[in-house]
Amino acid sequence: MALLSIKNLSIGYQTKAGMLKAVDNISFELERGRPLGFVGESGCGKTTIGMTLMGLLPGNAHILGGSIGFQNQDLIQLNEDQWRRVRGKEIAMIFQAAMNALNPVMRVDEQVIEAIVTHTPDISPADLDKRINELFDLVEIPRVRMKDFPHEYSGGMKQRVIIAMALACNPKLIIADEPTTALDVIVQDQILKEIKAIQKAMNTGLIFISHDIAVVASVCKDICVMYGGQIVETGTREEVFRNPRHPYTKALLGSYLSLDNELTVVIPDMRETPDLTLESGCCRFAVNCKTCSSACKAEVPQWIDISGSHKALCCDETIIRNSHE
Amino acid sequence: MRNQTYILGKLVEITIIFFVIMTALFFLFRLSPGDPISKVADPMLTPEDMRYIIEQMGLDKPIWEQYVIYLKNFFTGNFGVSFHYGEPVFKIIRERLGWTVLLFTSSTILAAFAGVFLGKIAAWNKGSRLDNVLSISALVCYTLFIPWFALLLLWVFGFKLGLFPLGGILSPELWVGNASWFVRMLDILHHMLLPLMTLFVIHLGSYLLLMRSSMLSVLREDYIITARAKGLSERVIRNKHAAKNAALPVVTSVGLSLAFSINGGALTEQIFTWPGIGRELIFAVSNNDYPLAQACFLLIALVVCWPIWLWIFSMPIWIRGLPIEPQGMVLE
Repeated sequence: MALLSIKNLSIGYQTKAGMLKAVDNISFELERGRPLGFVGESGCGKTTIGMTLMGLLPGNAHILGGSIGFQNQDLIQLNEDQWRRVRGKEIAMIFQAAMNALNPVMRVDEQVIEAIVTHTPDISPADLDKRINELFDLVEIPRVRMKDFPHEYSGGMKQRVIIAMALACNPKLIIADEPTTALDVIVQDQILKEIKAIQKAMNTGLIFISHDIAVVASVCKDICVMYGGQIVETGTREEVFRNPRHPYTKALLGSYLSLDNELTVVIPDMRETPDLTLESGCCRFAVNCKTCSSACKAEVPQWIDISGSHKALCCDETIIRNSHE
Repeated sequence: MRNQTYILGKLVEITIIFFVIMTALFFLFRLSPGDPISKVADPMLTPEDMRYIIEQMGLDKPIWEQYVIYLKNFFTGNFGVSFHYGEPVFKIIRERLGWTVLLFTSSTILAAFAGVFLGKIAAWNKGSRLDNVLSISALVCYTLFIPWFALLLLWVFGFKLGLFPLGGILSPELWVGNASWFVRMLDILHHMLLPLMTLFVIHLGSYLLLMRSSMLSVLREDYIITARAKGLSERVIRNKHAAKNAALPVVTSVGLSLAFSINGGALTEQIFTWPGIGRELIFAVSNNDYPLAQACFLLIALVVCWPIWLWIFSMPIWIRGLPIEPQGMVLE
């Protein structure tokens, strides 16, 4: 049975312009041991999915429909008290550390201890001590630095603390939201390796969110490419990477400069922002799609199976089927 | 090394500032209208006696000589003798200072605690009726005219209801006699309550508004989301994570307001005849009591510079010790 199973989830933000559908009719399943990556540009709804799974959506967000199956319960039905027991304990989140994710006036170890004590209030001081040392060893922070304040840490160390915090209660599902975006490439590599190793060792479910498809591919076995609140292509990393079918996935993979052929690389020209107020189900990518036909704007895109695990969302089946290069 | 040069630079700076302030004070009072002799001496005195008094005060000497004496005395710790009281200025200030500190610090600290607490509640319930009531009351407190408010309290609670004494610090019968210290303390508190209330209300508004806006911006920080993601209760998030960070500007503001402890309460002290420095200051200025006025103003300058003093003498010791703001202690 899948650890997490999301069906037809739609989430909207109430704004002056109307209801913005940040997440539009999304379905996916997550197995333990098969990390799932979400890739897409800013505003495509990847963080909204993460926040929904933590029950931390802002006040103007509304869940418009669908279900989130997790351990025989529908997370959407939980009240605030029940959510609090899930957060940190069952589902934990790794945030981007550069953005002040640690409280500046609390010592680092206190912040991790807090996560443990909240969910296991009757833990003995000796056990707590053991656990906290274990966690800091796991993320390779020297014990002498445990009592420091966050500003005394480097970006990479802060990120490690946040990972330790997420692991504190042995959660069943970890959501990593852009955990390496603000780090330099070497530290980024170390952190990614660490996340992978920990995921394997603890056999947790992992959802990895990033705008960087290369980073996602290095951690995850499955990839969902998102655009304008919709998943537009999904498959194993090999399928998506080697054999992209959706025009947006191709554009995303084509967006890398290389020194050899700097002059010939064409960065896809995607100036239009997708209209999130559109009717549910419409193709959001049509505004930027080079292969878009008039039919695309009228019709509802369909899932087109390429292989058992690989599929793409498009109105034009021939484009998807014949686009293999 | 860099810190030492920095501190040395600051010390030189302060010395220059004080020299300028002292000079300005000296000449400003001599330029102000009115003369001290007529305030002290009886007009019926004979010219000889009059001249004697003038000589006693040192006012017969040319002004530059007075200035030199004044500077010389200052550096030997002698602030002169008050024209009016005929007592050393240092002694007068020492007697009055305690009362001012008592009144001002207690009202400031009470107001800061209340402001932090209420501001926290207001921000947490932003947009609610409670928030509206608190914010508007804070604005009213903030804009109140001190003398009017003080007189109002005095009129209602002191005069009409007769619940509190109209002024002073101790009931006359306790000045003499052998009442216990506890009775005296209660009596002082009884006298202190109205002036305390005045200063409390005046300060409360600004602390509340400061805490509210600071709290609102802290609540948007990422570490608040981190705290929620750990599954902490809302109460812990509000009190431990948000309020502690949000209180920093209030702490700074309390520190800065100490700079105004001497003149800030002057009007209140005057109205409630509280025998503090502020009241003495008003008295000295209106009576051309040069030595006393100069010393009072110098004291204000000294106190206004207190963050710098603190900086120089204790900051390096604080760096690891102060729990509230670990980052603010780094010498730059």
